[in-house]
Amino acid sequence: MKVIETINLTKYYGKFRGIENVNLSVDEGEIFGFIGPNGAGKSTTIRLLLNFLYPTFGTAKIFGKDCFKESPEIKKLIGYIPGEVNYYEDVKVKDLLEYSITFYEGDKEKYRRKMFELSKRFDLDLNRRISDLSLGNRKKVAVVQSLIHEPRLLIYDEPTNGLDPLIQKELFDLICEENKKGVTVFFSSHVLSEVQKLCTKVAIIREGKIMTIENVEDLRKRQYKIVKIEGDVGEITLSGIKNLKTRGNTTSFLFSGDINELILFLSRKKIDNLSIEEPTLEEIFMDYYSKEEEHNEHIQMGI
Amino acid sequence: MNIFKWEFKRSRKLLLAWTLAFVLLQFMYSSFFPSMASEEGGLLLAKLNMLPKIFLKMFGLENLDLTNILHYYAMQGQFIVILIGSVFAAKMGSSMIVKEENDKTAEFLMAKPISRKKIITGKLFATLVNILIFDGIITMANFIFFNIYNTSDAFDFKLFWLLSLSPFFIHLSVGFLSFLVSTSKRRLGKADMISLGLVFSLYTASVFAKLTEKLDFLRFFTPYSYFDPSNIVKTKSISMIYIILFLMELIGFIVASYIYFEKKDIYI
Repeated sequence: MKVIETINLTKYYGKFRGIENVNLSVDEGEIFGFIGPNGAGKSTTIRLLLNFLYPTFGTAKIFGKDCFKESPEIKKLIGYIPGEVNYYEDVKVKDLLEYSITFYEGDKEKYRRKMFELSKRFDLDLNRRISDLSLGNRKKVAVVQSLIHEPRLLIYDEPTNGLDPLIQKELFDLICEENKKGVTVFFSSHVLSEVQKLCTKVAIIREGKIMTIENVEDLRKRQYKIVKIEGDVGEITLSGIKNLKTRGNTTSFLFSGDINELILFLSRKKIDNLSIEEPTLEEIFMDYYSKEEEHNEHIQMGI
Repeated sequence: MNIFKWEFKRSRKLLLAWTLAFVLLQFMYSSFFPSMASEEGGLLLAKLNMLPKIFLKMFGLENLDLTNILHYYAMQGQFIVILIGSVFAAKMGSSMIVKEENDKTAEFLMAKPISRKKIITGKLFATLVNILIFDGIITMANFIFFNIYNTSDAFDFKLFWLLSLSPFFIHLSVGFLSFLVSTSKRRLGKADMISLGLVFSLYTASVFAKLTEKLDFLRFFTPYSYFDPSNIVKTKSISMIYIILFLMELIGFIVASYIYFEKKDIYI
């Protein structure tokens, strides 16, 4: 069974585009990255999944249940962190978390134990008022709040925003632990490196439309390597070379050809140093974007 | 039930402050009564009766014998308890739903496994109980104060209860109407403004209904006419047709709140 499945999910805010024909399919146990620049429609998609909004058209299902008809049932199994964390300002962290627990069926004592355990892990003071908390601490409350009731699906909308690197690492560890227990994770972000670290699959959304859905590994493999060579290589006679730059003794280029040919070529040279790097998803992403734009320009110019 | 508890807990300070203020006001006004019922008071009343009838109507003074403590209450209560109390009821109702969207806490609440219907039920219940406590305590305080300061031996219990139900019913109408406004708006300031605007429009309509024959029909459209204290004093009853209208409107506001909220897009 698919954990999340949307078909042609579309939302317009009046005349303004929210998202258009979004088709997503997330399998059980996946950590699914949802990537796009700000305003691309990530939050709109998530808010539809949680039925804050009704779609203009299209369908969405979570655990096989209709997001717009059986939402309360679905939400029993979901832990959610919003992009911007806003809570009742005048209450204590503990009161808020206890309030959260009252919404879930099941062993409340177990949930409370989990609350203390998680708060300790994230160094969160339960007796402070929400209004006194920094952005990072509010995010911590959101993290704890999303996990207390042992959900089967985590929907995290830019959860690392405002977290310092140490806490970020703790959160990633936690996500991986949960994932090992079989929890599915839907992770939205505009920071590609974190998705690269964490996710198995990634959907790229831009201007309300899904551009591509791919395995993170595939995406990277299909793409080029960054090659840097120190030493005299002379003229390079390989196919699949882009962005060739020579600065003094150093030559660098992007290589998308056969890696064996590259090694064969280099074996005949006398070089001082060599590095072959994977591009970051960021670089792939930019490349993907620019291609798309070139393509669009061509269309506009009538080529 | 958890939403009701949460809402009730969070509004108790506001409830306490308003209720206390009104109890003090009622104490003050009741303690003035003996001087109103005295000889000097009698002089004032004689002068009052010389005023144009339209003036007496406008201030709800016709039919009133101000040497009777309940009539005296019918006079002052309609401005203090009924009208200013309506501001409390309107504010309570108008914030109930919209504050979640305004403060962006809707994102917390709506991600919980609870239907929108249950959210409305919990919050309606909180509104009802707040108004019930507010008017209940004022009624109890009035009962005590009126018995302390009553200068005559007679005390008409039936009239007392009718005059105490009047503000409660009006506050329920206004509170639930404001609640409906609350489900339809996105910003707290706007919901507040519209609700208070409705309160004063409805009140004004009731005054016009009294003043002009031509506008007499307005009395069917405003709870301030249904439960007008000077009218209650005159007839010693509340007309059945008004009770039916009141109940129908109340149910209308409740049903509309459920329907509207069910399909609403929540923007955060």
